[in-house]
Amino acid sequence: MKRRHFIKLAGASPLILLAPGCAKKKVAQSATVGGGAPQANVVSSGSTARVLVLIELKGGNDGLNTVIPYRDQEYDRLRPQLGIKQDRILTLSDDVGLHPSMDSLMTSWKARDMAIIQGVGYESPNRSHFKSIEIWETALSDDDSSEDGWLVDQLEGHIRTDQDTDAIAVGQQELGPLRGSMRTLTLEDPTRMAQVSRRLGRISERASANDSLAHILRVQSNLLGATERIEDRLQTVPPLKHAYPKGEFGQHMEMATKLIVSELPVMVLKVTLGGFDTHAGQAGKQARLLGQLSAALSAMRANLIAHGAWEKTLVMTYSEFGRRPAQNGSKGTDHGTAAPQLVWGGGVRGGLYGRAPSLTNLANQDLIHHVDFRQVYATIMRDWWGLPARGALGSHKPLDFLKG
Amino acid sequence: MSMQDARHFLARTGFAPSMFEIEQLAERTPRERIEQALVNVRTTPSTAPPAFEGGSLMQRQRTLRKESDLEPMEKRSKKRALRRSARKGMMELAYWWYDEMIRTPSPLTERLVFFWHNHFTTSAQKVRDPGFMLDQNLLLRQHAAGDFKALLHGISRDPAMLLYLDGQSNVKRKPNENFARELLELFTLGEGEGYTEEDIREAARAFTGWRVNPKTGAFEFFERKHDAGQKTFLGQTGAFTGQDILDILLTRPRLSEHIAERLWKEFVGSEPDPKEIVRLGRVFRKADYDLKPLLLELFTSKGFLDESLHGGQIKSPVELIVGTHRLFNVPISNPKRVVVSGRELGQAPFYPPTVKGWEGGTSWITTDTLYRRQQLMHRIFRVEENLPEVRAQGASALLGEGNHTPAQARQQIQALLLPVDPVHLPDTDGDLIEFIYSLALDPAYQLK
Repeated sequence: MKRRHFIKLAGASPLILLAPGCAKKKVAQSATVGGGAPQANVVSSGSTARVLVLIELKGGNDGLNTVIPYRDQEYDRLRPQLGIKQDRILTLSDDVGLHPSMDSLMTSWKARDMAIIQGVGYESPNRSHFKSIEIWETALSDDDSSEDGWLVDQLEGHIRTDQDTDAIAVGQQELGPLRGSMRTLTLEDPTRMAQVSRRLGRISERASANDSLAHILRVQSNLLGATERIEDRLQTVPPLKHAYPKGEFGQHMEMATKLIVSELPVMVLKVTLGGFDTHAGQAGKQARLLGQLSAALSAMRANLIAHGAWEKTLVMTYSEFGRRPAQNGSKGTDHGTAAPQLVWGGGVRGGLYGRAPSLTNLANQDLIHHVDFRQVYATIMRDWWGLPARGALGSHKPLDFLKG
Repeated sequence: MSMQDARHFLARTGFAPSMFEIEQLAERTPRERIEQALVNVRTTPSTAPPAFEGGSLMQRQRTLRKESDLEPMEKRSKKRALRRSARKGMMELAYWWYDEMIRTPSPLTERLVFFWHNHFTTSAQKVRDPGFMLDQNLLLRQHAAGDFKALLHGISRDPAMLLYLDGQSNVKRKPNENFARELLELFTLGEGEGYTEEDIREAARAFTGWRVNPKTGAFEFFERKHDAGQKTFLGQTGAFTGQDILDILLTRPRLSEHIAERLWKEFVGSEPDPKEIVRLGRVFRKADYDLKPLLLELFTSKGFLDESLHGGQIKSPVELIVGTHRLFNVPISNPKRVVVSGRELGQAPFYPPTVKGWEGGTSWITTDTLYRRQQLMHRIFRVEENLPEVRAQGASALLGEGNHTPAQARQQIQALLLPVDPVHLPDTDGDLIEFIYSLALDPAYQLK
């Protein structure tokens, strides 16, 4: 029996095109974007609609052991135990190589659809999980507080109005870059949703005495109705040929792949991989996580290529911060600063970008970034969706890791 | 039965009651319960509010404007910095109030303060100054279950209110009717109840000159801008000031009934019997607008005690968040998230959406907000570090020490969490946390 993956939809029944409360903001925004009405079909038109898949590496991934400057003697000095042995490192260039657990990514690297942006960070780095991830999610510095995700800000007014959903967060998680008036849907625990949907039928008589309860049940029923529409669409996807690693992340990546293959017109998908806060015993933990990431990514890539959807997909990792170059006393590393970002997709110009951060010229014993993460965001706006970057994002110089 | 009554009383007048609180009240009569709760009402917060130093936003903006030796670029950036600092202050203030609501020994106090906040609506969206918003909150707090006359007089001189309803621009020869209109329509008599447009205009004239002094940031009666002429208001004539208008309003029976109606809608929720409202109005007037006797009558009335009302209202976002945090002692690792969650559910303290306040009732639940409520529950109950006591002690963390079989314990927890039977029968055999989680996701958990 096929397990049905039930989905919970936020703010959309066929009659409600926008989530409550965002209509007002939309009007204000369109006034600032070069005049004119929101262009409803600029970014998405039919099955060629481009998708961005965000993979949040939760906890602060140790970038220095991910993209390793294997020739730098400082590396061995800073990480006598934690350093990866040179003969295990997967060579990418004369200067850097990948963590050995990421060997499934070498196919993508050789096919030149994988780009690594080195030394990404921001000024006055914040080493608090909450504050730093907020900065990444809102693309605003600490002082300016906004709660809306950067994608919501940037994509407002460019969203299709003939679909239920703009973005999907796979697995219960924080919406982060999608927080705000975007219609975001979350894939939930299938068993629980199945229970709910089965029992909903039996309930209606009971509610009649209690108007409040009746109202809630009516709304719940709408919610499920909308999700079933997406569920039906997913049913049209044949089983994917390339297998995903076991575990939740693999399942979520499989779901994300199916969503793309089903040609559901969403613009953004978000998946989370947690466990990167490796203050102690980092070696095994990070190896397992990077292994999962790579295997899942590689399966997604192979499946999307097989279904002709790789060209329209862009995948990007991000993490709240990198970690300290020097290992600590518990065979781990503490919160740091700059780290590499990995990007894959049919539209990617593969290779290395930015610069590996210096291991001698440090600030407070931490790596100094060369690329501001907002440059990466700006590149996506300009070259992936062909949209002008709004607000402060527009002042960051894009890179050229996308073919455009 | 009396347990459920006590639970109903506490849930309606506070946030999610604990088993301990319910047991304390279960054997008392309804009158004893409300008397106890009223005795405990505070007039000052139990936690220290944030301090906003450096003068009001108004004063600092004024000082900045007068600084002539600043480059325009610099001035603009300083202006932005002032606004940013005000926004940050509002976030701090909002978090402080959530924290107060979660920690307070008197939930009834907070429910009443919030009620008055929703009655004498003022939004930081316009006022912007966290210091003014805090002062208003402290004013509401001072009289929440006290002297309504003092509350009414106080709120009409309150700087935040003056800014919100344009008291500043209400001057002789160019009166601004905003405050006068809302005073009659929303704060005292109710829409269409015994006043005319003419009355609004005359009242506005009476309030001219009532403003916030831009140099001191305090209320002042600016005589020069006050229209000292004769006004006719609700049939009376005189050289009225704002104070006189309020005193005249306080002679109208309709005012006491309007307040009684609003309190009924908040705490009872059903359509009030008009005769009951008249009776409550009389009690209020007889007590010379002391709120305690009115509240006593309200919470011992047949309407409130009617069993069929149990679970008949929907928890507001603030009630849902505060109640869940209180009952399960959920640690707050990210204060900002709490505030943002409330906002996402449709309620940001200090930011009522319009001068009519939050509508409440079924308007709290849309596909979007219902989904977000469930997501919030998921976040709270699924995070490892939350519910430490329940994880460590099991059912007795919620029920207290006692002999219950696992099945009895679950039944009791269900009765504790929900005002009515759950819609989806939970799995009683599994893990306790899973059981609680499924109750929290149940539609019945959204009710009070």
